[in-house]
Amino acid sequence: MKPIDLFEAMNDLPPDILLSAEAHRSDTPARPPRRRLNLAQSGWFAAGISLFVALGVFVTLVKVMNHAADNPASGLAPNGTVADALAGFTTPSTTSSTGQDRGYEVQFGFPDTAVPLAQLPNDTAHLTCGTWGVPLFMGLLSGTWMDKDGMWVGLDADINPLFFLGIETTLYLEVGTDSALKLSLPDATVQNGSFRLYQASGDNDARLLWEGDQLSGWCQPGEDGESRTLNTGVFYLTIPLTQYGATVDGKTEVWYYEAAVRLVVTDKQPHRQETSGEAETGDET
Amino acid sequence: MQDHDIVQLFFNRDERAIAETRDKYGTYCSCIAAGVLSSHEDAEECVSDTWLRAWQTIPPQSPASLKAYLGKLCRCLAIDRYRHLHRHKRNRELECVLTELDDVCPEEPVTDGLKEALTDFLRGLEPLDRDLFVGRYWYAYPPEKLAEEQGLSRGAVNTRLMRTRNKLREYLQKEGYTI
Repeated sequence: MKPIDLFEAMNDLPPDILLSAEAHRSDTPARPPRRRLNLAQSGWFAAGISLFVALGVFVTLVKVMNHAADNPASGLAPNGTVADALAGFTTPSTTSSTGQDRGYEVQFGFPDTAVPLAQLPNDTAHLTCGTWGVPLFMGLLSGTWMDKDGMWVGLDADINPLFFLGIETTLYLEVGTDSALKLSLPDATVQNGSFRLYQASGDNDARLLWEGDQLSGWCQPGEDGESRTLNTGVFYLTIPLTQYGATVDGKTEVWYYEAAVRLVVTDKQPHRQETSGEAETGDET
Repeated sequence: MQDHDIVQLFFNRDERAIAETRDKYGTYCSCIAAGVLSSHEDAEECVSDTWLRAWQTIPPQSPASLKAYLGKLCRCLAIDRYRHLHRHKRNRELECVLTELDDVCPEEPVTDGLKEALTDFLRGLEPLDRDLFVGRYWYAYPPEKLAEEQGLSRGAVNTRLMRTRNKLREYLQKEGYTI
């Protein structure tokens, strides 16, 4: 017999024995119950309130920073080059930048998405492994970008609409039935800056196809009234992420970040997961 | 609502019986399930299954003590679920309980005679020891909880439980079981 069998055998103990123990337990405690549980609950409640307040303050600060960046006089507007944008690395908009490496040091789970174009893999790209998320306390995009081989390959954007303290974070891609990659992007004012879509035309070279303040602009019909789609090829979508500053020796340094997303569109009928909005392409042709 | 009124709702196939049972004994059954299962979700499902099982078994069953009946149902279901899940999810507390019971486990399979022997043994114990034994090995409550409720130290509870297990082992051996 195993212990669990003996444990189970006790199921047939008479009710009076069971209820005697239970009645003694619940009705006549030998001493007043401790208040430890209540204190614990109060502690969690206080911690939750504190966290919420801190969250609100932080978001407010982020918004104030963004508002300041909107002001042209502030000199904080991004001024990166195409190559910079494709590389997805830091574009210092003012002086004394510590360079692109600083972009990897952003806290709060900022992804290591800044990969020079030359390092992007040229072989098969599966846009299935990434996961996007937006920390509630920042307007940053974050996520993982690694494929099964541990290489950065592209984007799997799947962000549910999240309206929290005015931060709108919807962003997703989907593969259209015409084998073209449609950017189906609801309003996603990620951060100040421009979204840009390039088509790769050579090594470290690209042609700007579209630029807009909001990704949803891509979904709007063009001047010719037709919907925008991408034909086969390799594309790069740059996403403005954030900008922040730090004061060093009395001088404010501001960095502006962009992430480049490599999109490979093929003729192969893509697989699509309806529920998650994941985008996946076949082998690059 | 009194227990016999709830039982009557079951007999009348009135679905209010489930709601009344849940309101009155939901916490009780949750404690039992939580003692066996480590996952809160599993415990809650187990409790929900308890209401369903009660609905299926009353009638024909007409329990004299609805509380004890529901407790047994819940415990049986929790043990079934534990057996199903224990390869993946181990309940550390229950593992401790089972380890302690290992000292008093007869080699023979479970029989009605063994169940009667257990009952007789418990009836012969002092009330405090009996309550501690049932609390630990029926409800699977941790010693800390028992100590707090009985106004004892944890060490005293463990000592009393150990002595009771020793008594049980001797008792069962006298009854002819091999341990």
